[in-house]
Amino acid sequence: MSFAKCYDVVEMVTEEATSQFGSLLKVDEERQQELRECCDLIDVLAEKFGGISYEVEVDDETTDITVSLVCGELEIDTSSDDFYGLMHRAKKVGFKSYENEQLQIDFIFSGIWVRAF
Amino acid sequence: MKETPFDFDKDFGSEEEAMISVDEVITKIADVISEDEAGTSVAIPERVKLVEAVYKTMRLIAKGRNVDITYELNAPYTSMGSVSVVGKEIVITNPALFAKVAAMASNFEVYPKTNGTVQINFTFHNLTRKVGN
Repeated sequence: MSFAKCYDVVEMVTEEATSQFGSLLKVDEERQQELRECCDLIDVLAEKFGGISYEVEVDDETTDITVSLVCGELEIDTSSDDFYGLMHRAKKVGFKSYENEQLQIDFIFSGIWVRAF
Repeated sequence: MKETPFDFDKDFGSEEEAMISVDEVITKIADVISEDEAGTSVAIPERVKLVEAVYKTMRLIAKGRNVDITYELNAPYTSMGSVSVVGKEIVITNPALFAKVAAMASNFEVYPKTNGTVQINFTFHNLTRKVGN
């Protein structure tokens, strides 16, 4: 079953956010690359735990980016570097129940924008 | 030639044979564990401290809606323990610290429950050692 790449979804949303921020903020390439790496790790988790969908939101005020992954259960052993790697890079992580007894994991990352001047 | 009790190359002939064989293995494992758990054991303080550290850290960093954090020692077996976090929504306010303590557990899992809550479980093994023989 084909599955969208996390960064493809993130890029669509952040491009929209960038155009909305206008001339006030600009994308910082280093932060963008960091986010891309996080997305790659999320893809690995999605593959491992039966990922079903991604949702991405940008907070207008804080510019934080929330990447939500819906999947089945999550079982992590001490060798799951991908999960631990993500946890070290996220600002916050949320867990909640999604419809049809699925799990939604929200990874909240710092925004990729900096002041334009 | 040394005989082994295993034969990975011999397939089960039927699902019925598989069911019987698996039940036998489960029963024997339960007997081994019961035997292993029998007798006097003492807690290994350093390992129980792991459970304590995870429990206290979760109380600090696990927020959200209707969040309840509990711990259990010597269950389901004497040598085991666990920390559970249950809530409608669980927000980890310091993911790096969460990763640090999660790595201390033997394993951890997150799963949705039928009542609409979500549960995080940290499981710990080898919290005790046998005394004598």
